Amino acid sequence: MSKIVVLGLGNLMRTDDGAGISALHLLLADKRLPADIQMIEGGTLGLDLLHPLQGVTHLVVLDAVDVGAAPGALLRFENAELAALPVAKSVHLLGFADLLGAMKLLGHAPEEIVLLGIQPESTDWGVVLSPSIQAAMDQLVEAAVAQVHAWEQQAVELAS
Amino acid sequence: MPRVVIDPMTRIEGHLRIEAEVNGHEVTDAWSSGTMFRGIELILRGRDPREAWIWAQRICGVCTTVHALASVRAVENALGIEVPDNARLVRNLIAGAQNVHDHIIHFYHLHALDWVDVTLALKADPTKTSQIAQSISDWPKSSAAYFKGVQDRVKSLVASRQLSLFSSGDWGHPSYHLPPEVNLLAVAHYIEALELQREFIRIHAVLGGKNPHPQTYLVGGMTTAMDANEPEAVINPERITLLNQLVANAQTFVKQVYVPDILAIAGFYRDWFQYGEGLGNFLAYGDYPSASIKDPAGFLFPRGIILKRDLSAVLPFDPKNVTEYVTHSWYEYSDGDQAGKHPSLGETNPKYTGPKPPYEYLKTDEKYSWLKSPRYDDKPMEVGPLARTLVAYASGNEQIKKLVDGTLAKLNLPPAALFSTMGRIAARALEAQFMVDNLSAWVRQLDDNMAHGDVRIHNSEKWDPESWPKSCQGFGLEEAPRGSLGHWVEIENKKIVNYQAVVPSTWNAGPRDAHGQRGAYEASLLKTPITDPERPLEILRTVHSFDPCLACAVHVVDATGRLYSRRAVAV
Repeated sequence: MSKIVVLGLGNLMRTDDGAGISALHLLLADKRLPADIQMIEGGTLGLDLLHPLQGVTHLVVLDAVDVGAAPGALLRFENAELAALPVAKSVHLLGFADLLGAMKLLGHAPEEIVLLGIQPESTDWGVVLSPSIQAAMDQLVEAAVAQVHAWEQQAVELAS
Repeated sequence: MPRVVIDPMTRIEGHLRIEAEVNGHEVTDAWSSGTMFRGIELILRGRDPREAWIWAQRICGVCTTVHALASVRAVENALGIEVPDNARLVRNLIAGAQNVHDHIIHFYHLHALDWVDVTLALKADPTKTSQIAQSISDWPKSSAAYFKGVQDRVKSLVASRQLSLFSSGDWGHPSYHLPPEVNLLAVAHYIEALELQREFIRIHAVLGGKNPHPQTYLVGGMTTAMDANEPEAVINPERITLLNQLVANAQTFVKQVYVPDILAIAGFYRDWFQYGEGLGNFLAYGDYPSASIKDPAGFLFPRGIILKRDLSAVLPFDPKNVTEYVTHSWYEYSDGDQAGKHPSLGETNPKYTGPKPPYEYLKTDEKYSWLKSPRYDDKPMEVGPLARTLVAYASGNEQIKKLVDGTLAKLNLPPAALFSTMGRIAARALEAQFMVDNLSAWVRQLDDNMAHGDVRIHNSEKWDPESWPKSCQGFGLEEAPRGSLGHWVEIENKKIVNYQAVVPSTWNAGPRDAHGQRGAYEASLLKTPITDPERPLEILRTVHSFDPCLACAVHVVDATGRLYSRRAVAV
């Protein structure tokens, strides 16, 4: 039985660092994802997320990731690629890397993890996204919807 | 003078910086600096005192809940409100669960890797680990196959380079003394503790609505509705059963895993019962009322003061004698920075005069911290599990005496060994056991009250601001996991006009005062042996033994500017 979860991470008070949370809010308002897809606002929590992520088989993470690309660039990392992430580049991502490690040690990491990231322009104090990031929000939401649909399709095919 | 600097990188929970002078292979002086301004006091001015706890709670995301409790107590004290018995019990349970949860996380996930070398665990013989485990505890997860499985999981994590949890600049440091098999045992329990804490903190989800930051406080009581016949009530027989289960599981874990691990590890680090003492002055406000908060004699953790490591006398505590200095802190007082101020007259006027970042060293002969320097009767004090344990021990608390004397006997150490880094670590574990042993009684009392039809959870007599005096002052004291916590509030015309929080890590991590007296961290680092000044693991051991809330992550920079990173786990 697969369980798909979309997790938004970030700090809404650090401008573009909150992009993942903003995207999650857009997804919540978007009715395309079925009601059984759980959406979790993870904020800047680390290990406190162990409990809500227990039993998740497919995880989409929405987050700001600084890889030095053009602001607003969409980034995608899956499974093993996550190990190579620049962990120190986000205000909170270290907590997520720790969380992933902890789930692995506990032997219940999701089978599939896809991180949909966005290159921030600024992570300074502030509650408004930079225009470049705001402009890319729809794409991030589309990517998340597409990912969830792909997994659902996969599950249907496996079942038949 | 060679100076070693330990400074965190930006991370979730605050910022602590230690500058230490190292001569030969010993710390000869140390300065502790909080490099982040808190300022919640300013945010609270002008607000309705009934909502203060919601804001104050956000002072910290690790010691979640503690500032909410201190805040409602302060406002209740100012307005003369007594909470119903059920509210007392729910508050005790939330705070007690937080204490046990925090201590387990601190030892396994924030501190153990200062003593446990994960890379050595990979070299262990699982059969020998199994023999050791079975010789020290009845904990059932102790087969050779189990430890082999753990070792394989850690190996695959290391192979995948996803080292995040276990990354450290200190692997292979000559100050690690555990045999590979004990390292493997500790790593296995590190993983089990992750699972345990995840499950145990459901107590906060039940009684607090969520974790972190429970949402069920009210000035005058709690919002946790009780009804024996209502499946939707927060507290009903089904929930009582769940609470009992969660408490029982934690109790077994603390007794069969946490405490035996501390004993096993301490046996290999006996020299650390000599280092890291610090002030020798200990303060505990005491907490966990058995009746009214105004009756400290009924507290589970007794109130009192121990001076100059004299366990023959517990001195009385008077809240009037608490002051805070800003002589070495980035604040200014309206009447000069040389005299301390009682928190009820406290001022929060930030004035940064430190170097412009990035900088090499702080100006430690001037102001060098965002923390103030709390003093009791003009003396610096250590607060926290060791202080509470010593005050309870010296007060003749039977349960604590049995735990402490039993532990000292097993390690063949005198009580004076407690005044140390390892003593602090042992006291925390024993306190976790003391605490978890007492949680079930509160669940039972809650159940009894409900069975007898007493479901009163909130005293609303003074909820209406029209019933308040024109002006009043109050304070709320508490024993948070990291130590004595106090909030002081002044209310005028139904609004907060002044608010001051004196937090445990300010007592412990604060800078020098007007008389040049060091704070607890600073004093504890004196004479710490340093094997390798480029990797001052020993400094981390002592500072981490206090459970610093501000040090999830620490960068280590030596005098030549080379950078080492050491991380613990964010929680």
